[in-house]
Amino acid sequence: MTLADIIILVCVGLIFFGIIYHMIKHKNEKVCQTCAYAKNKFK
Amino acid sequence: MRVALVGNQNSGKTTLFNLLTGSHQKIGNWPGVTIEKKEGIIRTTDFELIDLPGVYSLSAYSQDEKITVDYLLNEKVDLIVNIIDATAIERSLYLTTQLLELNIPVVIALNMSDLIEKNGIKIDFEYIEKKLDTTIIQISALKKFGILNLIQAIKQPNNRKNKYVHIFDHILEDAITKIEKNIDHPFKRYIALKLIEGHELFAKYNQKSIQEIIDDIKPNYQRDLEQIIVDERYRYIESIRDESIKWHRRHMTVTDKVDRVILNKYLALPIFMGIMFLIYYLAAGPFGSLTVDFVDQLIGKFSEWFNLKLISWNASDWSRSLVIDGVVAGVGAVLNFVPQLIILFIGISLLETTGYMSRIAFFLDRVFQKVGLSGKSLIPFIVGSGCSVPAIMSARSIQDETEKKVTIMLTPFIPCSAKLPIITLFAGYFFSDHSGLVSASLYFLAIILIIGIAFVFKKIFYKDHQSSFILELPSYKVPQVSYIVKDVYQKVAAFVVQAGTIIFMSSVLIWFLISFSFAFEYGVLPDESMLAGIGKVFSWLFYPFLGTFSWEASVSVIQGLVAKEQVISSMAIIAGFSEGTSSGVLIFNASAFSFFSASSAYAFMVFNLFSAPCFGSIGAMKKELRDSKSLWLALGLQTGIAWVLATIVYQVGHLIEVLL
Repeated sequence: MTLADIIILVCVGLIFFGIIYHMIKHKNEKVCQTCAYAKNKFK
Repeated sequence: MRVALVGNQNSGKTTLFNLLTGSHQKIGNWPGVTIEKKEGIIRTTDFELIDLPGVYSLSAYSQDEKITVDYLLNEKVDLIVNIIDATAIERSLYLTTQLLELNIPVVIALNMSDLIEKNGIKIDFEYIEKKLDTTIIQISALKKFGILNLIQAIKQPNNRKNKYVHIFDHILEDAITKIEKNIDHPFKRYIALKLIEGHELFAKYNQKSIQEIIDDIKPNYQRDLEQIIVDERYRYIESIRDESIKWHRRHMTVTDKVDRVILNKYLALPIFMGIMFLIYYLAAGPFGSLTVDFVDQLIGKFSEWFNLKLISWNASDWSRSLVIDGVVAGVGAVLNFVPQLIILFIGISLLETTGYMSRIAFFLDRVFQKVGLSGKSLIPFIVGSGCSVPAIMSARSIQDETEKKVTIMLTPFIPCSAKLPIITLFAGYFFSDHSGLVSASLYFLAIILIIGIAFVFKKIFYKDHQSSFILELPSYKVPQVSYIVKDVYQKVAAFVVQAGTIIFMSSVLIWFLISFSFAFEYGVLPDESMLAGIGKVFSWLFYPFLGTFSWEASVSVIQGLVAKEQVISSMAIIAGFSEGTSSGVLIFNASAFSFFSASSAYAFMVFNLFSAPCFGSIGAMKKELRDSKSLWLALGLQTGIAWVLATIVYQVGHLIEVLL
């Protein structure tokens, strides 16, 4: 495994688990709260 | 201090809210834009401003009215800014008289006052102010004048007058006074009136003594007391109108002239079909396809450049594959469609802001009435062309429970923006010269399906159901370019964020599943991967409309449950691992998807468009339907219909292909 492989793995992993963390953190928010189609409509 | 912004639907509340608070809430020239309350701080003050849903009265029957009434009764509002449409004062004052009964100071913001003179109206404002004991500020939220005066009026305690003026006949007024003495609530008069009207929501305040007062006055009237109160209120408003409003000339407005054509009995439907066809033709037709090719080439060049960089950085095959074949191919496949979405969103935004959307609801109401729906159902259907989630939620403004349920079940049939990539990819490749027509045909197929299913529902489940719909047609307005730019930008940004999050995650997962076998060996043939193993379990389900057992297409369809864009993203990744090439419309050059013919392509689009929507929409359906049985019925119905329809399309189309 090269240094580039490790950097790629860390970056992809951070983004991947960052998204999961964000989703879990905001799981109790209303469906539309962060959606541009409707965030103005359902506050 | 807490200030509530209250007014009729489409009176310009949200535009005024944006001006007063400096925020960018969604506006639209059609009723029902605000469904839940919004909050902000009025500029140069520390006053809290709440934009409540548009209502025509405080009768508290529909959900919008309940939200408004609940808020006004329970949230200690210090001042009401009642926004009134200057071109429809008589209708607007109905709500005003009810607001004045709440014993909360009211300041009237007379919106669109620039149109008063234009429409040939002369208004004696002093007379109205005196009659209602309130302050009227002339404004135009669109032209942005009078806003500072309004803020000054809100700040000035002297403007916060209003002593209630008696508007009913003496029998009713005496009864109200007597009932008020028996009620322990800050809004005695409002509740007293609700008790006389017999509103069940306020039954808890009713007592024997109150009922006796109501029973005593009943013999004086030959009709329902609720109707008497409405009539008396209108009688009072008419007296104000007669004394204060003078029409010095009546002429046809531009709106009247345009409506004579647009709402013509014979022209309305062809014009609507023409407009929708034009939007889809521009977005998904040859012009839209060109934009896809352009972005695809850009992404392709980026992919090549990045691949070379990774090689120069000594990245191994597997890590390059993860980035290039997984993330860039998956996310890039979805981003290809951004220019087309911009065209679609501009079209929808224009329909909203010009006022044409209300016209669509108006003339389709007749057709919808026959199938147990009403024009009100059309608003969720049109919002659904952007995203099904807010569309499903906007169905809550439908008062009738049956109609609301059916609308929620049918809304996901409308092709949302996430389904557009599926339509354009397949239509562009298999029906190149007629891609615009094929794309529009799916939109019209969705409308036919909605009307057909609603008709069957009415015949089987809701035989005696009658629906009604009252809609006020707003004046046509020239759309504000800045608003359209902002609206389209927000929607496109949401699409890009979706690609950068959900699609990114799914792409990494798909790359992992297609790169490894169940024994966790890397670099196996796609056919021996975990993804193939999963796909093969389900491929028989899709055989009837694909004409082959394709695990590649099966896993892609199933991923549509996560997000519909993921169908294309998944196909792009699988195509990359398959023989042939991986990018954009050339997905079909890969051996994994070379089996598609025109008939199976159309059937594939039909299934993806009409089967169960994404998880986000399913969540919204669950919330709005409020019971699991209805939710499962809806999902089963959607997927079942999609499967049957796709199978019919493929089988008939295939037969024609063979015969030709």
